[in-house]
Amino acid sequence: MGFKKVLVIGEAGPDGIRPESLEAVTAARELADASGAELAGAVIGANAAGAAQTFASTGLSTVYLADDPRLTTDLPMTKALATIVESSGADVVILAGTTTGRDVAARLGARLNAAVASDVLALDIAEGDVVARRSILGGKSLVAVTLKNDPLRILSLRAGSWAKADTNQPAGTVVSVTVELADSDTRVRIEGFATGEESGGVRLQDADTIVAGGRGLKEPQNFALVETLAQTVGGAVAASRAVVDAGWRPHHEQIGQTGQSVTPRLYIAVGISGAVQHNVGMQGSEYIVAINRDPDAPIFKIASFGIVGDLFEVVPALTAELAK
Amino acid sequence: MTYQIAVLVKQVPDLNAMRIDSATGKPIYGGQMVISSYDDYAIEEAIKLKEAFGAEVTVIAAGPAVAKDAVSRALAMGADKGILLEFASNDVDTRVLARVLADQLAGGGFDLILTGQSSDDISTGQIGPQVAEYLGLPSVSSVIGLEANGATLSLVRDTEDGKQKVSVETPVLIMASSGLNEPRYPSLKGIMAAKKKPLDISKVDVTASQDIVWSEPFREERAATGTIIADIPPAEAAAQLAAWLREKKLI
Amino acid sequence: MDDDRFDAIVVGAGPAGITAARELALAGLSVVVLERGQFPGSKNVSGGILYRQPTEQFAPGFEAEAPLERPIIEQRYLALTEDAMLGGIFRSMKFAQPPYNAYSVLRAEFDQWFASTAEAAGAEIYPEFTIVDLIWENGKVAGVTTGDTEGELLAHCVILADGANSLLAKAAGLHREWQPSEQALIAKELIALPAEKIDDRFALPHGLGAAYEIFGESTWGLLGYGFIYTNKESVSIGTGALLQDLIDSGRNVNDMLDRFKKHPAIAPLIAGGETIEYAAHLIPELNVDRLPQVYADGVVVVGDAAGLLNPVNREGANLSMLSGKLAAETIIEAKAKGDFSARTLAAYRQRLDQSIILDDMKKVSKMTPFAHDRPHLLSEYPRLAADVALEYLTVDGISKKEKQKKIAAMVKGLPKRRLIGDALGALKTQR
Ligand SMILES: Cc1cc2nc3c(=O)[nH]c(=O)nc-3n(C[C@H](O)[C@H](O)[C@H](O)COP(=O)(O)OP(=O)(O)OC[C@H]3O[C@@H](n4cnc5c(N)ncnc54)[C@H](O)[C@@H]3O)c2cc1C
Ligand SMILES: Cc1cc2nc3c(=O)[nH]c(=O)nc-3n(C[C@H](O)[C@H](O)[C@H](O)COP(=O)(O)OP(=O)(O)OC[C@H]3O[C@@H](n4cnc5c(N)ncnc54)[C@H](O)[C@@H]3O)c2cc1C
Ligand SMILES: Nc1ncnc2c1ncn2[C@@H]1O[C@H](COP(=O)(O)O)[C@@H](O)[C@H]1O
Repeated sequence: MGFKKVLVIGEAGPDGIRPESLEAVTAARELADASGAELAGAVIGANAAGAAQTFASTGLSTVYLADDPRLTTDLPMTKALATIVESSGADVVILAGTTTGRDVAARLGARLNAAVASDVLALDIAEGDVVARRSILGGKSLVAVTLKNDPLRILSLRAGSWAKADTNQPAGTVVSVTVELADSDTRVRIEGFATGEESGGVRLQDADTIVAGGRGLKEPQNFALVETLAQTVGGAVAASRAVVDAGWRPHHEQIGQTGQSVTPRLYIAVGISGAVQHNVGMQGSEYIVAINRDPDAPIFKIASFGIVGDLFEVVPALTAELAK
Repeated sequence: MTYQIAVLVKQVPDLNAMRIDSATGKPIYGGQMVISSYDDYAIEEAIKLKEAFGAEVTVIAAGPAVAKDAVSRALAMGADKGILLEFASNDVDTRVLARVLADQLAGGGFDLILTGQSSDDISTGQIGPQVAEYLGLPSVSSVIGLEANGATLSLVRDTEDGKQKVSVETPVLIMASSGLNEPRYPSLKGIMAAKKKPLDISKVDVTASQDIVWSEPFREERAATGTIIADIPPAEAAAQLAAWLREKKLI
Repeated sequence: MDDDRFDAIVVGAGPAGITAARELALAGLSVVVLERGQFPGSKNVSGGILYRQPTEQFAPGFEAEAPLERPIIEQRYLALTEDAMLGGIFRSMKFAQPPYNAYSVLRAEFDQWFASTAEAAGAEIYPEFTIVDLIWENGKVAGVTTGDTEGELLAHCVILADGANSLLAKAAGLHREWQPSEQALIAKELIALPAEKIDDRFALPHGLGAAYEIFGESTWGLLGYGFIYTNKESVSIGTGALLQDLIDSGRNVNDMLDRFKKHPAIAPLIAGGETIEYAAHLIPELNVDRLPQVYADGVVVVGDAAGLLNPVNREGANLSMLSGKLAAETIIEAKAKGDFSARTLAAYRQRLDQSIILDDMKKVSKMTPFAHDRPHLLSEYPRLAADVALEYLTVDGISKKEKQKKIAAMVKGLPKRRLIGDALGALKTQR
């Protein structure tokens, strides 16, 4: 049996709609097309009108907008979303691979008693059921979760698993909805960001090119190699957990299961072995370049172009070559 | 004030001692069962609050009989009371599990419920928010900093946008993430004292929900598809890569 | 119990410590055992031979409940030269039926079971804690510490059962540094083999076992011996020598074991087997007159920690158990008196003196130096015997008469004096 309506949830970030939400649209469209369902959207947040417009122009039929200064945390957002889901008659709800997306998806499942799959890497339909693939056991293994639930299923995605939908499609209509909230719903207050920690410069998620360094660099100061290469190609700098744990780099630069998930056009991995927990955070990149001394390093399994060699020789040579 | 704190603890296989059978892709568990790594931060935070302001810390685990060991370890670290909600297996939907845990917590008068951000084995990250939803409490995830001032907690969250500061009045559910603190090892006295601390075990029967089914674990080997060059001078290799990048218009 | 003091703290969950803990718990004393290993026995890799009769005294019902490998029905004493093996075999079908004389065991499994019986008796056992020092109260041992916060524990009496080369006994000033001439270093491996292969290669009825002691080339001719014990689905193999001789000869035990395993007479026994455990371990070989002090105010030393074993006859576990029991008896008396001072604990030493432990050790104490001063016993004589056998057994057209002459000549080659000396010396050790 096909679904009636797939509802994809957009999230307003510091600078408009979040890239993860645009990935969610792509995933949602796969499902909608496969089952001939309508593809609608919803945006819940504070000052989210602009984001809702952009979101609508990914070709969504309708975008329900709950715009309210109090819609900044899980509990009120879940309440608002629940009313929208119920009135919209959606039978599949898809949330983005963000902290909020994951939390709200779980709460919504409890509130509406619907089955939830989180951190979804891939979607499928088998015998009318949604089959969601997710990684378990620290990324070492996969499972396929079948959501049989009628009338409703809820999914939150792993960031970086789908391409971003383009935002120049015919825009659907934005329908404003008002939400009833009690004071007790809004006890969590956001006070801002720890100094020096707000998203400085390019957010990794938005970077077109990322140069990431790992333990292969041996010493913190050798990260200069990665930084200069990044400057030369105009990319952002990222790191593996090994070097973040070692304190060489800040945590917000960490790529992978317990760090950021990114999908740049180009991801250059320098001295990174390519452990599953790292790869889940960058596998979605369009092109992956690996420089590693060990021909058997797993990173080469997912590399579009790999050089087996000493990074201390290859990287300077490459930087020089590209500077030409 | 002295806090009433509950910590939700899950017992999981030690992933460091696990390997994946290359043929079947199924996990082969070597070592013992351990406390899920993020839960250690939750326990430690509860004990730190107890030491700083005074608190009664109740540890709650749901799972098979062996999960008692996880509770005992938490008691040895410094928790006061242990509860094991015993059922055959952990393979139940998060809603079922969250309901069992929420029912246990309801009416317990807890100011603070601590969970891990996600469990080492299935890592759904759903139990925290769902328990909170069933209890009608706010939940705060990815917490890497906590300062208590009476009923007001100032928290730091590790988010996509950086380290976010939030504040909240108890009661609240908090999901602990790595870096929140340095979990302690149980001391000899701690382990001995734990033997005398109350640990009640109550059997609960759960019915697996019909609307969601997890497959057996499997693995997908991606064969190398890209161009891999080896055994050529660095300069030459760099030149080839540069050419490839230009051709693909990546720079 | 005044304050939170235990009657006794046992350091080390080996045979000696567990026996002491079990006996004390059975007598109703409060006792804690601390073990640095992940579980009792985990630090005691490979296997050994346990004799039934003594073991039954300290671990009643062990035959029914304990994890055992194979009843031993055959004992071989062998000597290796570079290219030959000769020796004596004793196999008796009397050993092949209950009551068995001895079993091969894997200590990691046996110790764990044995510890569980002490726990059942009421002793508390805590693995994964290493005791780094003793706690003293006005000149008297009053407890132990793990060195961490909340790692201090007090008791009326501490039992040091921490095995060979007891650091704590030294810290307590009970032991001087043991000399290299007073301890043997042994390297041992556990090699996995299918049960059928073991049955075939050692010519054993299914499930029954053999123990080989092997002298000569197995130790580069140094004083010591190699051994092979058959387990259910593995064999324990090891070799070692006096630390002093290893140092003097510049040999090391790992090479010694490799060489032993490669010997043409040994290699076929373990061919295709996979090494699943390896360890090197000290065995005390103290001369009985130089035994360390085994008691002081509030402390006793048992088992290998006190050097109480008979290395020659491969009796460590059972003698360690006995010393543990004798210590326990003494402490039970002390508890009754409410006096754990050296004066009361001295009774432990008296018990030892009257026990079979010291009798056996006295004998061994004579044999070891005797053999040690005569390195040729383990090298030259086997070689000569091998040459003689070779000459005699080779059929090459030479008449038997001729051969006897040749052989006589070979033996004449030996200095008469030394022969006589060896013979008399050997007799002495047997008195
Ligand atoms: C629950 C869990 C979550 C995790 N989450 C994450 C995560 O989010 N992100 C993450 O990155 N990791 C994560 N990890 C850790 C992950 O398993 C790996 O340990 C980590 O990614 C390794 O980082 P690395 O590749 O930099 O170091 P290594 O694995 O040590 O790799 C170093 C590489 O550098 C190469 N190298 C060394 N010298 C040179 C040289 N001179 N020239 C060229 N190459 C050289 C080596 O061949 C090696 O391949 C997680 C682990 C667990 C258990
Ligand atoms: C290679 C080899 C083969 C042997 N074969 C046999 C045989 O076939 N038959 C036989 O009867 N005997 C044999 N023995 C001798 C026998 O193993 C010992 O005599 C016996 O184990 C001594 O028991 P024990 O309890 O005194 O010491 P151990 O068995 O050595 O036990 C000491 C325990 O104390 C623990 N410990 C040490 N220090 C600390 C600390 N600071 N804190 C906490 N715990 C500590 C250790 O981890 C260990 O578990 C053999 C010995 C060796 C080395
Ligand atoms: N069976 C359980 N018993 C108690 N707490 C649990 C259980 N399962 C999960 N939790 C808690 O929920 C957190 C997240 O787990 P998960 O939702 O499985 O990723 C864990 O870190 C625990 O704190």
